[in-house]
Amino acid sequence: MQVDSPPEQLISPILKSLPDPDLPAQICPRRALIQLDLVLLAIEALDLYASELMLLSLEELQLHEVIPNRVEFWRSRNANPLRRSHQRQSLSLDKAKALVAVGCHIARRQTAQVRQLLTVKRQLADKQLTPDHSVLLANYLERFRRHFRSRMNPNRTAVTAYKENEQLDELALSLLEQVLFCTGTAGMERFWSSLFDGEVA
Amino acid sequence: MTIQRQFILPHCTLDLEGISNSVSDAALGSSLDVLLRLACQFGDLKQPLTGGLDLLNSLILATNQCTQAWMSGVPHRRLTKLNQDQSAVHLLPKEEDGFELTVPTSLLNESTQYADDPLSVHLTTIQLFDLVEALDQLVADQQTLPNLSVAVRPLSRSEAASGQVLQKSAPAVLGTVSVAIAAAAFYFLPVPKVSPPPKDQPSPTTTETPNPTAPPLPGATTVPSPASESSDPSPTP
Repeated sequence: MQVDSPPEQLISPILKSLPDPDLPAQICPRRALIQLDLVLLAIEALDLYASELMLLSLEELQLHEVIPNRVEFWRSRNANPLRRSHQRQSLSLDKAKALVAVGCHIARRQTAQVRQLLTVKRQLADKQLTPDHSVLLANYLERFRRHFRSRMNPNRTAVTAYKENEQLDELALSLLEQVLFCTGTAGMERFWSSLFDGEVA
Repeated sequence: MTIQRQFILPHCTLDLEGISNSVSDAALGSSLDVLLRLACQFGDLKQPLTGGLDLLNSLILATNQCTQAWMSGVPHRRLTKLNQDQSAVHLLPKEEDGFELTVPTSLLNESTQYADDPLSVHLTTIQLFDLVEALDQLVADQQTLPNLSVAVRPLSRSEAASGQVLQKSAPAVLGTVSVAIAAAAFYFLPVPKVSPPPKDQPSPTTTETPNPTAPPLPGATTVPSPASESSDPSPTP
């Protein structure tokens, strides 16, 4: 029997599980774009192959309909207005959900590493030592600094605030703590909701 | 027969004791529907906190609100110290590092071991994560208190603390105040005196030559002087 109706589009359960916030225009606000990209940057600093794993996860999580390829993934990341390659394009809620999902998916794989780094950070702070005294922590901070400086536009006011290494290290450690909370059972929902705090009606 | 459930994480342990609504379920040990006792051990507590459903609900609400606000950097209006409900658990990020959890003794079973002051516990980020994760796992477990839920949703503009609103409206407020100050300053400045333009008076040395062709000004009366008439070389008849 011939069926005339088009095949039903497969919608990822993740897109259904994250609710659409009550925003005037259904696009991500500026703070959400920056925060989302920075958390993904921290995940990339934890693992050199994180970017490739995120691309693979899009297929695994059935999100390739939303972000089909590497170029679209790159364009979605560049919605962050602090990026050098930012072209004033907006980010749809579905694409933002996909980025949140793959970020949390990869972060869960890094849970042990994140916990270890935060434990070391705490131990060093108790001894009043800087994070550079740990090789693991120093490697993470060095990679984060390199990623941040190569991708963010130094002419932006928000970026000039992180001119010094100390300020950038503080940001990297703060993001590391946020990555930890993304790994939890309700981490993805909480991270998604936190992006729109104070923005919804 | 009581049912026991345990949620264990590296820095947090939740022990729950309860009973099932259904006798058959209780025999299978499947569903804990009514909580009789909660014991939670986390942070630097020397002995676990014990309480009932009120303590559990208050813990879930406080950790969820604080964690989300801390992740977004937008504090909840209810999280500010001025708006604290003294009968609920409170969790606030500390200025230096970590978090402070405050539990009122009214929510604890063995409140006599503590003073009347609320119990205060310092938590590191990892300790807080373990507490939040244990509570999230408990909420997600459909076999333990299935009616329990947590509302993870974005804060509305009205729920966000006023500091954030002030921060967003700061440029507009600053502009208005600047205009008001400038207006007040200009009000007190003395009004400049208008100096009248110098009158164009004829100097005594200059001789005025009347223009005979110029028409007389309206309303002006000219009185002919006999001297000027007599000096006319060609009088008309």
